[in-house]
Amino acid sequence: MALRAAIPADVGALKALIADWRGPICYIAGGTDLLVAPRAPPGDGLLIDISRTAGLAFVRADETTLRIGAATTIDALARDPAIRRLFGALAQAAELCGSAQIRNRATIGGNIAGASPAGDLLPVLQCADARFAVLGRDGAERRLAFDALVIGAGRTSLAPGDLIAEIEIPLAGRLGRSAFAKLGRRDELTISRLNLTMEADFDSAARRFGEARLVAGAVAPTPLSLDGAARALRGAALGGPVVRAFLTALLDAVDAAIPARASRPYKRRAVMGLGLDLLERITAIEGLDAVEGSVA
Amino acid sequence: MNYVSRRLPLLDGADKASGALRFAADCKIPGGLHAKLALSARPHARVLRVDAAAALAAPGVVAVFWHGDTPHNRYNSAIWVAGQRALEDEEMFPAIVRHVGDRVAAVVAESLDAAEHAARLIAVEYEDLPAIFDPLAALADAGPTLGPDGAPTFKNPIAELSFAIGDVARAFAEADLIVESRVSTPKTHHCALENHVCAAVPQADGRIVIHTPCQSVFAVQIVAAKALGIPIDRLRVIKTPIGGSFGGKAEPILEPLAAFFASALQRPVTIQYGRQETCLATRTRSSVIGTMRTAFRRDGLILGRETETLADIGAYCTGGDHLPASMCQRLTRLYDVANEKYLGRAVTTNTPPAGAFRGYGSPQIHTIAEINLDLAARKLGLDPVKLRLKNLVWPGAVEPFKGHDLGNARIRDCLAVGVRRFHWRQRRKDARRLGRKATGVGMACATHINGGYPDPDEATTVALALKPDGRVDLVCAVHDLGCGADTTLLQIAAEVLTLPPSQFDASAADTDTCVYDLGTRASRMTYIGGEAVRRSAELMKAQILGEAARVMNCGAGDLVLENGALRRSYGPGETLSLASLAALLAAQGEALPSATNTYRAVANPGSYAAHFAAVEVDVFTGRVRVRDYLAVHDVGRAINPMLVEGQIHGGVQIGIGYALYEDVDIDPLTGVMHGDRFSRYPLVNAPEMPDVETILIEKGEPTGPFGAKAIGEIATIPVAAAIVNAVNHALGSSLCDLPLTPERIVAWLEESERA
Repeated sequence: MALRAAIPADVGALKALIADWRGPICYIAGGTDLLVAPRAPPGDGLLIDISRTAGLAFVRADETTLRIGAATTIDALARDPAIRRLFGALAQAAELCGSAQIRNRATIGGNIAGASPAGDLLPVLQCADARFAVLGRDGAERRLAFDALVIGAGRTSLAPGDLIAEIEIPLAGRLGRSAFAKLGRRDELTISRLNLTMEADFDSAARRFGEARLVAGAVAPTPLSLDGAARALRGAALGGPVVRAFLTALLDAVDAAIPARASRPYKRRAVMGLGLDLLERITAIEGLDAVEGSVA
Repeated sequence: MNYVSRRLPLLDGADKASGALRFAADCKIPGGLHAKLALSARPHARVLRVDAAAALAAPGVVAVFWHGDTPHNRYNSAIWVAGQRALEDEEMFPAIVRHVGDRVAAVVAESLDAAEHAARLIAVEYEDLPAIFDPLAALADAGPTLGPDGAPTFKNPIAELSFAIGDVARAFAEADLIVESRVSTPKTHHCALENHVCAAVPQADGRIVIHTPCQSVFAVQIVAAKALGIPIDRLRVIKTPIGGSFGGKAEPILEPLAAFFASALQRPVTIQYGRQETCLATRTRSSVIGTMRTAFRRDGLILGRETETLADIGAYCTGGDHLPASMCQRLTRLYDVANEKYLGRAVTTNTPPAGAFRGYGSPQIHTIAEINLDLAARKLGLDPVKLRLKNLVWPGAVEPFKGHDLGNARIRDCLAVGVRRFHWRQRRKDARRLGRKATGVGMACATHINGGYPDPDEATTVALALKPDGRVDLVCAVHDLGCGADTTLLQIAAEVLTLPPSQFDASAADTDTCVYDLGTRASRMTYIGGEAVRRSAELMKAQILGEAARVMNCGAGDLVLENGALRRSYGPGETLSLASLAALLAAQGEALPSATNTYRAVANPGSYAAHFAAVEVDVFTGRVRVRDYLAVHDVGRAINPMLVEGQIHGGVQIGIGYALYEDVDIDPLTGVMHGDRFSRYPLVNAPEMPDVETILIEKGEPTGPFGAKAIGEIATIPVAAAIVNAVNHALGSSLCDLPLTPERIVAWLEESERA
C-alpha cells in the first residue's frame, strides 16, 4: 500500500489515467483543504494533481452560458472581467475568500467539493442556478444541478473518484445586478459567519426593483433561499417602507433558520447590516440606512 | 548626535526579510531526534496509565517519557535567579494534569513526522477530578486545587495583596459623586510568529547545551537545572534568533524536557510546538475582573479610590502571584490619589497557565481604571481629558506604593500635544449616530515601569574590547526579542565611541560567556541595558584616550574622539584612527583598551502615554472599525525613532485585538479552549489596522541613556481603554466586558432599544 501521485498534462491524459487505474482515486488542486490537518491526504491509492492539467482552468462565456473550469483559482475568478461583467457577485465572493495566498492556490472546484456551510462561493452558485459537469470514475461525464450536488454540511453526492470538471452558469436567468457581502470575525481573511448573495433588476431612473433573488450562507447546512426578503423588493419602489420590510424579512428568515442556535440573537440583527450593504451596492445609492423610516 | 536619535534599520533586518537568518526550528542538528508531546484532553485528572506500546512499536521511535519515568523535581518556571523563592507546582509530567493541554507524555523519534505519528498512538487512562474554570468559583472554593499526588497544597487565593493610604472612608463620605465600575479583561495569546521551540545537545563532557529563543538564558538555565535536579553549571544555554515573544518565551517551558531527553538518550533532541500546542500548552495573559469605586469632587478631583482585582492565573502559579502587587504598582503611578485602597487577589483555575505578556498586569489595571474614569467624566459632565488633567502626576512625583521617584514624568505633555493634534474637542463634539453608523472618539492614559529597580539583581554587565582589527567586541547577555535591542544598544555604544554600529560584534546571550543578567523583561532593555552599555563605552573611551595620548604624545585631555579617530583638540594635525591605534598596540604586544562594568539601576521612572482613537460602530452588525489612531508617548529620548514607532504600531495592533477581538475562549463546562488556532482566534490584520500616528515627547529622563526610557510594553497598555471609551462614547453605552465582540455590542443595543 502506497500513495501514488500523478500530474496529467491535459484532460485526455487524465481520462486515460483513470481508465487504467483500478484502485481508489483522490483529486487535489490547490491543496488548501487536503494539505491542512486534520484533513490529511489518503495513505494509498492514486492522488491526481489537476492544478497543472491543461483544460481545467478557464473562464469562457458565450451567449447562453458562463463556463468555469473547476481548477480555476479563486484569485482568477476575482479578477476575471467576464465574471465581473456577467455575474459580479461571484467575483466579489471570490475576492473575500481566505487570504491572498489561499486565493492564489484554492480553486472553485475545491470550494464546491468541500461543501462547507461557510463556503463563500456556494450561495452565489446556488443563486445563479449553477450546474456542474462531473467526470465519473468510469470516465463518463454527467451534469448535476446545484441541489443535486450539494446535499448537506460538508456533503455532496459525488462518488469516490468523481471530479467536478466544470461549472456552468446560465446567462439567460441573470438579473441586472448582483452583489455579495459577508460577515466574519474581522473584515478580511475571515470565515463567513453569515453571507448574503443578491441578484436583482433595478431601474435606477424609476428607482424601482424588478425581479429579485437572495440566498444566505452559513445559516443552514446548505445555502438558504430567502424568498420573503426577495418578495419584499420584487416590483417595489425604493423607499423607507420597502427597505424596512426587506430588513424585517431578512431578520425573520434568520430567526426561522436557526431557532436554537446561540448565535441567533446576533445573526438575526446582523443580517440586516448585510442586507443594507447589498441594497446599496445593487441600487448604487449610498446612505439607504439614513432614508427616513428605513431603520427602526 | 551621530548614531543616537537616528532611524537606523535593524541590524538583522535584511537577513530576516530575505530568509537568511536561521531560527531554532531551521537548524538541522546531525543525529538529532525530535520530541512530540501528548497533551491532556482532560482539565483535571489523575493520569492512571500511559499505554505507550503502540507508540514504541511505531517506526523511528526511540523512547516515550511520562510521569512514571521522568524526574519529579518540582519547579516554578517563572523564577529568574538561583535560590529565588516561588511556589513550585510544576513538574515535567505531573501525576495529576491540571488543564486541557497539560503535559502527559512525550515521544522521541528519529524525525518529527515519526514522533507526531507515534504521539497519536499513546493511550492515556484518566481518573477525572473536579475542575474549576471560573475565577469567582475558584475564589469561593478555597480548598486545595491539588494534593492527592503529594504536591504542595495551595489554597486560593494563591496570592493576595492589600494596600491603603490616606482616609478612604472620609474621601467617600465627602464625595460629590461616586462612580463604580466592573471591568473584565480576557485571557489572550501572545501570537508570536515563531512557535515555541528549543534544542538540547549533549556534550562530550556530560554537559547539555540548550539552544532556545528565550528572554533570559540564565532563567532557562536555573529552571531547567531545578527540573532535572542537577547543578546549573551542567547546562549551557545559548539564545537563538527569536521570532517574537511578547513575554510568551519569558518562561522556560520546553527546555527542561529537551534537556532531560537529550541527557537520558545522549543524543540531540529538538522540541518544536505547532500553533495549537503553543496556544494550549504555553502561557496566556491572565484575565482580570476589576471593580473600581472612585470618589470625585464636583470639579473632577479624585478624592479617593477603592479597587479590587481578581486575576485568573490558570493552572500553575508561575509568576502569577506577583500580579496583584504589579497591578497596584502600575495603578499608583499615573494619578495623584491621596486616599487609595487596593485589594488584589490571584486564583488558580483548571485553565492553561498565565504568564508574562507585554505589560504584565499593566494593560489589565489601566484598562480597568481608564474605563472607570471615562464613565465618571460622563456623569460629572466633564471632558475626559480635563478630568485626567485634574489628577495626573507631575514630573518628579513620588508614587505611594513603593516610594519610587517617577522621574521626568511627561504625561501632561502627552495629553496637551495629543489633544491638539487629534482635534479632540471638535471631534468629541462631532460624534453622532447617523443611520446604521455611530461614531465616537475616546482616549486613555497609561504608565509603565522602567526595569526592576530596586530589586538587588537589577543590574547589567557589559564588556567592551577593542580588537586588533579596530572592531569592537560587545559582550553582554543581550536578548533581542525582535524589537531591535541589538541595534539600539549598538547605537548607544556607537555614539560614545564614534564608530558605526556595523563596527561592533555583539554575540548572542550565552550563559558560558556572559555575566548573569535578567534578560529582556520588565521594560529594562533600553533603559538599563542601554545605560550599562553607555557607561562601559565611556570607560572604554577613557582608556582609548589614555592609550592614544601616549602614542600621540599629548595629554589625554587634549584629545578628541570623533568619527572613529583621535585628533588633538588644538589646531590641525595628524589623526589616529581607532583601527590604527588598535593595530599599533597589538603590534607592540600591548593590551588593547577594554572595559567591563556592572551598572546597577538607580531609579525606576515611569514611561507615559496618551492614546486617542476614533471608532465607527455598525449598529446592525455590531462591528467596530477603528478609523484612526494617535499615540503620544513620553519616551525621554528615542534612541531609534523608527524602531520606537514600530513598537507603538505593534502595541496598537495587540491593543485593538485586546479591546475588540481576542479571547482564548475556554468552554465554561468542559475547560476546552475554543480559540486554540488562528481560524478561531481572530487577530487584527492589516485590513483592520487604522492609520496610526505617533508623536514622541523627548524631554529626557536624567537616569536613562541619553535620556531614554522604555517603549516596548507601554505601547500596548492604553490601547484597549482608548477604544472601549470611544465605543462607549459612540453608543452612549457603559460596556466594560472585553473584548467588545459584535455579539456583546448587539446584545447591548437590543437591550437599550427595548428599554
